Amino acid sequence: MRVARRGVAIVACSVLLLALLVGYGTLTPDPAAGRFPSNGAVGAETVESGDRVVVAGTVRRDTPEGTVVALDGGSRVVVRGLDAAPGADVWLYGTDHDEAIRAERAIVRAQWEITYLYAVSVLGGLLTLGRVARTWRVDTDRWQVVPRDRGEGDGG
Amino acid sequence: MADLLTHVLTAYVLATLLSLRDDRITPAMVTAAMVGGVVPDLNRIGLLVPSSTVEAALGVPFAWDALLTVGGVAVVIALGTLLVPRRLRPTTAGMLSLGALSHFTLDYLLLFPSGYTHPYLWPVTAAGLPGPNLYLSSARWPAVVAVAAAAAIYTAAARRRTPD
Repeated sequence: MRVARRGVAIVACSVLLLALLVGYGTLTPDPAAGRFPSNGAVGAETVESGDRVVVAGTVRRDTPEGTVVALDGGSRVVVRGLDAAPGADVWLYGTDHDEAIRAERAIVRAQWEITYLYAVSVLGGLLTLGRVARTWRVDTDRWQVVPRDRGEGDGG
Repeated sequence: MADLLTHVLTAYVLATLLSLRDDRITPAMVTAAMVGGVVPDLNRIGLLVPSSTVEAALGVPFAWDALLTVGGVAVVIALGTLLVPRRLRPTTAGMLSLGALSHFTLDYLLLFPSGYTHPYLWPVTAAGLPGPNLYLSSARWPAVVAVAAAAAIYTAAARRRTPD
């Protein structure tokens, strides 16, 4: 009975999680709520001139019209008022004008900083995985995860 | 997100400090707090399987970023808690929540170009929060501070375990 109730609870939570993943996917940009159109909307050109946007990508080159930025996701935009060398990673807030985005606040980072972020994050993930393997184990008789702690039987 | 090393070490430090006062916080429970510190960053599954790929496969809107919200994290913590023996569930839920809360706290302090944070409180509110914009996820000093604090706590806890 208890086992069946636990199974029902796990299925219910999984369904709820899927509902949240879908529900969050239905959120659309709302500048009044601090959610601005991003790479997808700018790439699909569904933003209007004057709209505020937040986009992320990599600087390609400087042109007389502005800085060409390859957005994560494929499209390219021209950004004015951006001071960044080719190859730099940019994440910026600005206003969309038909031919270019005017940057208002930009976070410019060298590629090695992004590499550092991911490398050190992988290290954090591995550290946690290693500790999980050392302090917990799977009890296949009860289909539970139980601690390996001394004196911590799994009789729950 | 601050870097994940900073998140898991922060959870380690907080849980180990609690373990000095509370016998229920065993080494396994310290691990649970570290796992809680990873949960909000599970949205990074999107780097391997993009939300758009899932969307195309399911035919409905879909976003992994739901995992970087209190709603998504609460359900993942409930699932994790159901995996452990019944008598350990309150402590496990508490430790997973401790790690996740410290994660959200550190992420709330991050620098966002618009000045508004990711909508962490969804589904309570879908609004980005005006944040303090203190530091970047790629900053080096948070991990340096976290490693130093974790090393100090590890040494102190080890000394306590070894009777004089």
